[in-house]
Amino acid sequence: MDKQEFTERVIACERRLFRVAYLTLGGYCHCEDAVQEALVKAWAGRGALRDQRYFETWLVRILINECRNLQRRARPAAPLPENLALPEPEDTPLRDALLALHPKYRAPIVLHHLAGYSVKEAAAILHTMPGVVRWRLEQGKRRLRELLGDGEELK
Amino acid sequence: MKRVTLSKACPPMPQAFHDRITATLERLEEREMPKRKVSALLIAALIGALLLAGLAYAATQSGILRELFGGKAPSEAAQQLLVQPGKSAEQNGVRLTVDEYLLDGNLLHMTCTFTSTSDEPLICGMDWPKVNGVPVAGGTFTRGVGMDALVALKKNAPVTVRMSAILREDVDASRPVSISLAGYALAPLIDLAHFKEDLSPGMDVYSLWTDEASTLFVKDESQTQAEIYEKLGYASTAAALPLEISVSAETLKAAVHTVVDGKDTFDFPEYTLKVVRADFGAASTMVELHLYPKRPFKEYDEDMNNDDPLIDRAYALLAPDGKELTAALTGGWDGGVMQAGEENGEPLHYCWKGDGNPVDAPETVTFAPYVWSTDDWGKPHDYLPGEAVTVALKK
Repeated sequence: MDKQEFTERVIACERRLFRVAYLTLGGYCHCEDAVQEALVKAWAGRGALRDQRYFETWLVRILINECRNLQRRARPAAPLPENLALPEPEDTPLRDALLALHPKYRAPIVLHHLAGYSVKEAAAILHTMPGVVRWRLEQGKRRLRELLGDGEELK
Repeated sequence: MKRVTLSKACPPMPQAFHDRITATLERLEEREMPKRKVSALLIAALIGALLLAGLAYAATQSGILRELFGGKAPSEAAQQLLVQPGKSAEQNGVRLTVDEYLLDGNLLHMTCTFTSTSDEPLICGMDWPKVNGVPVAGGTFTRGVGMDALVALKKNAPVTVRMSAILREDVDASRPVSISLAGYALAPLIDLAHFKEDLSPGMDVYSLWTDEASTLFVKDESQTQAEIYEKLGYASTAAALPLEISVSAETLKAAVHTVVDGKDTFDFPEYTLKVVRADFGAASTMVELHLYPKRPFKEYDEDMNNDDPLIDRAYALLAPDGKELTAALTGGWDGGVMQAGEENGEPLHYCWKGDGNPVDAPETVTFAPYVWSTDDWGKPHDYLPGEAVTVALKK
């Protein structure tokens, strides 16, 4: 894969990368660092990806690992310009409830419902089985409904 | 009941995020390994190899073969199996044409094109094909429409579809094979703005795969996508485009593939491994292993990792000389076999579908497990000692 193709394919999925990074990290502070590290690693290791059809799920898997590495290292974020407001979602209580979920339930919801990956793709990204993803989606949404209060219908 | 839209949990992507991505992408080459000095002899050899490869591609002019074999020349058998029928179906100004297909006994690869002369805005889609009347067992749509996405079809703007489908039953190469396609174009009955737009920019893809549609689909698998969308009142059928293709027995002569010969089940203290399929065809490889645990699996930790050696593993395919066969293939993850199946109580299924193929199918193949890690991209695998199994193959 040459640089032009790599660039095009990354740009094509950048909004998904943002959503995954934002909701895996729980905020915007380290999102840029995580995606930068993921892109550098993906570029260096692109020869190992033997089927280009899996590029995006492969890249997202690397990004999730980088997010977790950053969380484990707990490196302080680079200071943001004073006039730069951190992006906030339209539904902040929903974001907070989602972040309150156990990561094993949050990750499938983020990948499937917010980033738009199929259950099979989410399973590949999370290195688990589709049946596990389906079950955790149901359990995760049930817990999310509980966190948001009775009567909330998720879509 | 109040409805909560999950997508509102995430803010729009800030410009700064996009800027960091583009800045990183622009700097990537600076981070590559330093270039080595190359001898004139090596340059001449490379030019010769490129010329030969170019001639091979010029001879085929096939997008499918280019995709399947990557940088390598396609095998003679694969070239023989490739058919470019140019067969089409047309209704109400919408045409579906099969540009080319390749049926190698394992997989059906196909490229089709939708075109429209209609001034009306349409969306087009396709259901999984049937082979000898039997629906295929799934696969991938890598370009154009998909099972959960329809593509806007506009006048003078063709939509190309690329599909790889896994056959549910082995093909009897001594008899002609029929392939049934069901393409369609739909006229939206509701504003496209109500449809869930695909997150990939520039794709012009719309998904109708709502919870309601999903439920309907699960209830009755015989329903087509078009029927489901009509039932939901989202769209009406503007063109039904069924196509029948017959693949001759002569063409299928090259559809030779391998089966396991002799022992296929291996017993270990903590599990039993069964080699269900080790199928090397002319243009693809299908491998399937079932691992039957003799004990419960460990629980996943907070990071969704599981270091249970029965779960946290992948399998490499080794030739008789010990080299990884996947090095000669494309497809799969890091040359390993992906895992699928149920968490507990069911066998773990390791399935591997590879495009392209080694020049000759081996007489034996060894499955060697190793611990899977995303930090090990491209590094040699450390096989788990004493757990590799070897099976004999016959054509």
